[in-house]
Amino acid sequence: MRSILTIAQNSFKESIRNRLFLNLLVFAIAMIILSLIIGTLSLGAEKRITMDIGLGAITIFGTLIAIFIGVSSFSHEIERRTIYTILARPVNRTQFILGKYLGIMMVLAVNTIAMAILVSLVLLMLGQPPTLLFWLADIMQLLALGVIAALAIAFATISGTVVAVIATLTIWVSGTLTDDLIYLARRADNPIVTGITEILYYILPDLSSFSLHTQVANNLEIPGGFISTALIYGISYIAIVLGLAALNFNHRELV
Amino acid sequence: MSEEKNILEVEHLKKSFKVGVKLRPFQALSDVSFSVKEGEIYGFLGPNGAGKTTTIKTICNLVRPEGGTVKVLGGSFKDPAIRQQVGLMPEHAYYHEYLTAREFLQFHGKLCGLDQALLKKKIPELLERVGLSHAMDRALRKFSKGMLQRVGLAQAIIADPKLLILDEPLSGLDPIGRADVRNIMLDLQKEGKTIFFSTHILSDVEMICERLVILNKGKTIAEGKVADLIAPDSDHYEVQAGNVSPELKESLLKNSTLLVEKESGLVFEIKKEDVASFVNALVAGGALIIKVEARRPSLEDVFLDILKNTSEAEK
Repeated sequence: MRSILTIAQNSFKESIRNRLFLNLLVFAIAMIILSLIIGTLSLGAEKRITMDIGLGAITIFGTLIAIFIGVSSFSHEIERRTIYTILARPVNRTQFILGKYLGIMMVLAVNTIAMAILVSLVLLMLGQPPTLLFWLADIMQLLALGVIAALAIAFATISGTVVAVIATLTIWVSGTLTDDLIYLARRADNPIVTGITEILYYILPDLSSFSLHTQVANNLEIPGGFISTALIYGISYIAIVLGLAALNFNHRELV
Repeated sequence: MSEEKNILEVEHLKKSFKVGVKLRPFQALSDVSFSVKEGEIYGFLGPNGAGKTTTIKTICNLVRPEGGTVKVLGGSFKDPAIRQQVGLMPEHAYYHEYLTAREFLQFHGKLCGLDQALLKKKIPELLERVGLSHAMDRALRKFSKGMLQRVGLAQAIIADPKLLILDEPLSGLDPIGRADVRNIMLDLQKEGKTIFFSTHILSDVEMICERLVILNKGKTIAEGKVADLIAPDSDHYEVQAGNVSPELKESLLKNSTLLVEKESGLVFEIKKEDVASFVNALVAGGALIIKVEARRPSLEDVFLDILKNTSEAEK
């Protein structure tokens, strides 16, 4: 466990010293400040607009960090061969993967919490304190980011940076469209198309199952069983993806 | 120091890679065997592309062998307890460039299970030892290649390993740096550590190794004591003489080869049977004889000789 934490700390240090992370953070902060201006212009809907834009910023920038920093933090270790000295220590490859994943999750948690605090401050400035639902939506969003980060690491174990980034971006876009996919699958006349889309539906992560954006924006009740289902689904999905990544990486030759 | 106990044993190692678009097989290692005894500095010599780095990667379980066996400290490198006793310094200094030297050594120390209090004391000592105490809090991205080699050596020895595997530890260093690292290696040997290091620099092997293995085209072509491999050539002699007139030199060169010509004297190479007549001619010509000895080939001569013989045998 100590090895995993040491690798995670190092990965966290690498990410926060990465210019890409700092650039994304600046853009995210700029977007939240923009929500303050838009919020003040939309009479009567300041809170809704601010929380909507805030959650949107947390989702988009969190996803970009999960994909770009997640992939690069892993693939740089291989491409720059820094992994050689790490694996020469009493550290196995599964611990290395878990350490890298934990490191990126630390970055995502810090980023999500910092942005949520910023949105809350903006809401307070508008005289509208943030709701518990808003914070719950942030936590669920962090779980969704955890799924994306696991995929980013898994792709980085089998390919180079560019391919892994493209693959994870593709899965992320597809993952936001899984509801449409199952709709199409059930309407298709061709049984092969139906079969393939149904398989894809079950393989791709259903990112909508973590989203409470609609509830936050419209101040709606959380559907019954939503949180427990999302937690079980998210944690299982992450465990399976990281398990497969470890299985593959344990057999990979580091030429 | 036990002379008998093997600390690293490699037997008939084989490895091929798929290369190019057509994924054609390339035999990187075809038959590599050697054994390193406890407490020695063992040289791993070969030209570029001979398979030295592939062998080291195979020993360290970064690539899988297709045949043969590797035993590190009597066991497998896959065993974490074995890895705890080994320090690796890979070829080319690829380290975490965003870390400072201190943070980098802390990271590796923690991975080896060393506690924070010990590291706090040990890291400045280690950086002092490799001549980097002035750059303790400088990011590695600002280090020169020589400095990276030194910090790489520091990380390899942080957990006080029994066996050090160093891939080209002297490349990229200036003459002073080379001498420093050689002295560190000799000190580490005195502390009881075994050092296995690859190089293509023959003089370094001659200076610090007891034994070596020579690799060419993925195959062991020679293994033995450095002293045996560069044993004096009893068929040829070197004669150093001063005060040799140009006329005398001209006549002597009929049955000798001039190896060195400098103010202090000339060095000739002659056949064993010509030594007596050659010395007589020098004395008669009024020259001053400085030295007569059996010719001692450099390791480079031996290396090239073995490579030549191997190529001829293959033909």
